[in-house]
Amino acid sequence: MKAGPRFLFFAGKGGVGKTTCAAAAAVALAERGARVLVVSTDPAHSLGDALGAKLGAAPRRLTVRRGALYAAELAADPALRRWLRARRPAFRAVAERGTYLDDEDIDRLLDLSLPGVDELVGLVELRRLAEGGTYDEVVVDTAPTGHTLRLLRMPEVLRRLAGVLDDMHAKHRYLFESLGRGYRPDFADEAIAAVDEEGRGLHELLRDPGRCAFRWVLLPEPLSVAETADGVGALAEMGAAVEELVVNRVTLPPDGSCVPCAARVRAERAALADLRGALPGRPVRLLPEAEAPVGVVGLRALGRRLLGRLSAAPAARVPASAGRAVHGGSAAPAARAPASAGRAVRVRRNAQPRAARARRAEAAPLASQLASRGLRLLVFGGKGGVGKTTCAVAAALALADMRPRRRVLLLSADPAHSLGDALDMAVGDQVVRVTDGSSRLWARELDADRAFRVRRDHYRTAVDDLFGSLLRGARVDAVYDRAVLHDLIDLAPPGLDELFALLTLGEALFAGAGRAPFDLVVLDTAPTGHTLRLLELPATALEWVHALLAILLKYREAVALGDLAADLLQTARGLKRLQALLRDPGGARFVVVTRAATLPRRETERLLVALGRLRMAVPAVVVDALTAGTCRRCRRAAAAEARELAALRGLRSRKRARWAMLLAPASFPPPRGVDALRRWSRTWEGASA
Amino acid sequence: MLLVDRLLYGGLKWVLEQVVAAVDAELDDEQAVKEELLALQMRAELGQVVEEERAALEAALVARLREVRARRAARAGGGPADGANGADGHPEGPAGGAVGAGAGWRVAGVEVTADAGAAATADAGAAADLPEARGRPRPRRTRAARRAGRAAR
Repeated sequence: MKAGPRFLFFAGKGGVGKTTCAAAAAVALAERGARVLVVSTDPAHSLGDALGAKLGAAPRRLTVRRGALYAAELAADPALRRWLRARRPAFRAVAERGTYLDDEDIDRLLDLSLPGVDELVGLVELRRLAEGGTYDEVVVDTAPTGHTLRLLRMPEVLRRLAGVLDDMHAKHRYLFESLGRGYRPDFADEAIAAVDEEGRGLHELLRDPGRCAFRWVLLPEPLSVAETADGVGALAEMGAAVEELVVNRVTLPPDGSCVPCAARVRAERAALADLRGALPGRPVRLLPEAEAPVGVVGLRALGRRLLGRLSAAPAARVPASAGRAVHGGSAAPAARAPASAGRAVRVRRNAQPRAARARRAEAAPLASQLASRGLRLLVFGGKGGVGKTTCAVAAALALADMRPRRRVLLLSADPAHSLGDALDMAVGDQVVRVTDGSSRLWARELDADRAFRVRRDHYRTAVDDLFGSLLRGARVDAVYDRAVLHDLIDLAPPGLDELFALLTLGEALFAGAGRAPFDLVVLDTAPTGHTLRLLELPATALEWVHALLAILLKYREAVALGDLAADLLQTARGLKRLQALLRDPGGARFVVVTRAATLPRRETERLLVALGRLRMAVPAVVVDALTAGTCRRCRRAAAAEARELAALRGLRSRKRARWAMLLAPASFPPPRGVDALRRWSRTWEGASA
Repeated sequence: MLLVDRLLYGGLKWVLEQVVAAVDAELDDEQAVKEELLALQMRAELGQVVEEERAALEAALVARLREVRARRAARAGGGPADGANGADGHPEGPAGGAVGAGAGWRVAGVEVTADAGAAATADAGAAADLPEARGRPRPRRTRAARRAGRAAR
């Protein structure tokens, strides 16, 4: 028997085919004779879709020719409850001994649900599942990049948590000894040591190439390549090894002449050249474009391809035709002139400059589909990689063009940002103006870590005072208190990205007393699972704020309320207004972006159900990247897409839903920059219906 | 003589210290009232007080805050009256300025004005208890402050 199973992580941007690859690799590994567990850690699970089986939190055995295959979809909330339940008495004891908090306070805090729960318990639960059976291999289908990186940082968070608890307890130990009684470690010390050990074990596991390997999946597209370079770099910084890059859906050259196919092949070659330039020397495996296989039988061939030997020179693996001469990085100009781009614009007698007036008229059909009276927040969401960002930027431009007086903020809350790439300009955590004078659009890519640090530093004294007064016996030995304090303040909460996205939204939409900085926020979100977490977050965050307010009130004899209390109060009010806005069908709307393929369509169905439960209004579903070519392959692809579109329409009539279906054509290379995005959004079909 | 000097000096010092202490106490008073206001708003947020109770308590606290500030304004205006040559009853004069400095009713980061405005939409009756906090950014000059202004003229 080996020391433990080997972990194989499939990571990458959303929608690149991680799940299909992970499922296929698991099938192939099992059929080589191994006992394999495949687990999804993305809160928007689609592993069951890929394997063609209904999965739950407990591993389910699937039928394979040889070996054994088990599959599970991780459930974070129950996992956290389970983890906490086992440690609760110890945490309670430590908090009770080390702080002013009484049982009531401690219970209240321990019972709160946590933002970022998926990342917090993901690895812990993964290991629990892995140890629950005698597996040789554990294949992990991860959440999209940004959240996977957070997941992988959790061992450090666990160790820091252990550090805080230990510092709290150190004072208890010190007091005990100073009273002349020898201190004997008890269950609380054991629990602290266990948490630290758990963090250390996971930390080592992730960095041991013998026990843990990463494969980065991507598409031959500029956005995907840019994110891969960042993501692989971040993993390398953490000491985790990416054993190979898997480029999925590589287009083979068309049989005859097909303008879109030829443009696509050229664009992909340029992207692959960029990839090799950015990550030289990494093994690259290319998988040709194919409809995503479903079920164990369908996945078999792909699995063998994924596990097959790579020759030493990565370039040799490029399909003969796709990879031959790679032209320079400059992409070919957009090959197809959209049919409606040249449409005559009705001229109105108006004082506006002609260009702005034309833009306004052209933006109107799309913008009026999405807008409503009193619209303040338009959320773009969907499965990863379906083109959320590009669609969100195009829509934000249309909305800003339609009503030039409207101040629009395009905000990205996906920790793996790509607004700047789509706009082809530098976008960062500072708000930057995107358009010229005639329409008013700004953009910002939220940096949650920075936002957290700014807030923490701003309230450092207040937080110091607060925690100082919560910690018992400050006069006994200030050293212990200070250590606990600083650990606590530095312990960034999980779910940071969602939390600060929410606070930033509140600040952008509701100013304290005067006029709000923006009339409308177009929000580009992280893929489905985390977007739903974001929409559910106001309630969770409000519970936390209320718990802290209650504690502050309770101990106001010991500590002045001050700025922190005032800020928490303001935050509570902002959260309530945001909650009210999210429930207002005219004020906040959700545009679902998807692709005409089976897995995205199934996820879209689930997303629409979840949005219905959250009472979010959905004005439109954008189906992105529709094939428009003329060759045999394009026609076949278009036929498959037509079936998926019919399924979506069927869903709409079954549910008696009213959303408009907007059809966005594929564009190779993808539109980048304000002008290209404007042109592209005018080619969407269904906007005028 | 030395003894008398010392006594005189000591006495003067004592008096000045008393003045400083009184001013400090009033500033502390103001801080305390602000804290009370903040605590009240926190309790309202947590649903620990009903709306009418909150409005009544808030009105009382705002009145107290006004009183504290008026006392301080009177002292600021009535003290070095000879030196205050520009104090002609204009609100921006030293006496008015002392009140005006805190005139936004800023309570440690929370605008009572903003709160009263929000309350006005929810409950116009409750907010009516705070005419100044809502409508007028600068509180009316108190009788003491007016007296101080006249003294300066």
